[in-house]
Amino acid sequence: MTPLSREERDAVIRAHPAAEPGSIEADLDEYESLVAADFATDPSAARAEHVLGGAAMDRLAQLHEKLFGRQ
Amino acid sequence: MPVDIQILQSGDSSRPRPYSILFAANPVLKQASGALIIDPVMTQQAAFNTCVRYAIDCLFGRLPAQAENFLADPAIGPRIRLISVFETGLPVSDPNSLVEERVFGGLVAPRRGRYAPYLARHGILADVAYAISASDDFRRASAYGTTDDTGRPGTPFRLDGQSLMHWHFPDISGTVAMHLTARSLTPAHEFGHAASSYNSGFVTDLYIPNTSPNFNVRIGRPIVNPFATYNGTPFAPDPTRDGLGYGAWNSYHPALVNATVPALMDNYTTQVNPLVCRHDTITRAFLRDRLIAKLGR
Repeated sequence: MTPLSREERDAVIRAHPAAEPGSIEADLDEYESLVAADFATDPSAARAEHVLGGAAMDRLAQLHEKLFGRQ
Repeated sequence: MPVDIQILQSGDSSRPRPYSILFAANPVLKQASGALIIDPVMTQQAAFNTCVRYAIDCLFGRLPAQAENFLADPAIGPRIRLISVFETGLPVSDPNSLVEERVFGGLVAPRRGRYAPYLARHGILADVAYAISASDDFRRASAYGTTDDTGRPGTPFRLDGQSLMHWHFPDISGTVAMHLTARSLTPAHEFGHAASSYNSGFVTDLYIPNTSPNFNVRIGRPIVNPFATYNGTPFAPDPTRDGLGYGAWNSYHPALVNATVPALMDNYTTQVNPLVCRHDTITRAFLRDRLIAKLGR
């Protein structure tokens, strides 16, 4: 997947002015890593789409809600 | 159904199955809500054609001041077949939907299992297939790598003492979902993923802290030199990740061709002119060898 631009990352950081310095960047890195992980391993050929499962998906949803405030 | 299939470059017609890159307008979009709609690209053929032309120029290193041009090698570029498909009037049904919107990441994503049946209806076999969408809300491209057909021939290579193969045929082609407005290095970046192999070496994103190794990323500290030995040649690591730095990351990358700018699979958007970015040393060698192996099939 294509990288977020600096402007896109900065917009997320600016949306959380009360966050501890560096924490939103770290959360965004973790979020992006989880999203990218879905593409980095071979999805089952029997399934048309590959979906992260279990704890990883829960964490992804949690980070998405925190960073972007929507589902 | 009205279908406009263009052979934009015939490639090596002496081969029974020349290496082929396909660009299809996505007939039906699976929205984030799960609803299926006619993809808005279907009313924008001129813009689709512009997008395809840009993507081809980007892949072949023809954009002004573009540095990465390994596909332009006379031993590679002219032998690749390029095809576009724009088919209107298809039913709004799941098999006609090649692209889905994903809320997580804000992506358009390939529905990889649907590409081959859709293209087979037109007698097309692609090695890498792009589906172009004009989703209203999701513009970020994504790609799955190729699942190779390991039951057919390949060209052997060695990686860190392991015997592996550049398999000649795909079982599941590399698939890309890309927005109609995609520019910059997006087509070449996604090609890096899609043309690589889940069996023999996947080229992954370098702009995130990876937690698992892949062809172009290693995990752990200290950074080990060489990064890898490919076909007898040691490739150095990138100790500093050019000007971006690794920070607290535990992953590290191969040495760059141009050590002053990020790799094409890293965050090229940090550059005023992203087109100066190139593949790192070992990724470039690997993708080049993989394509040459396939071109000779």
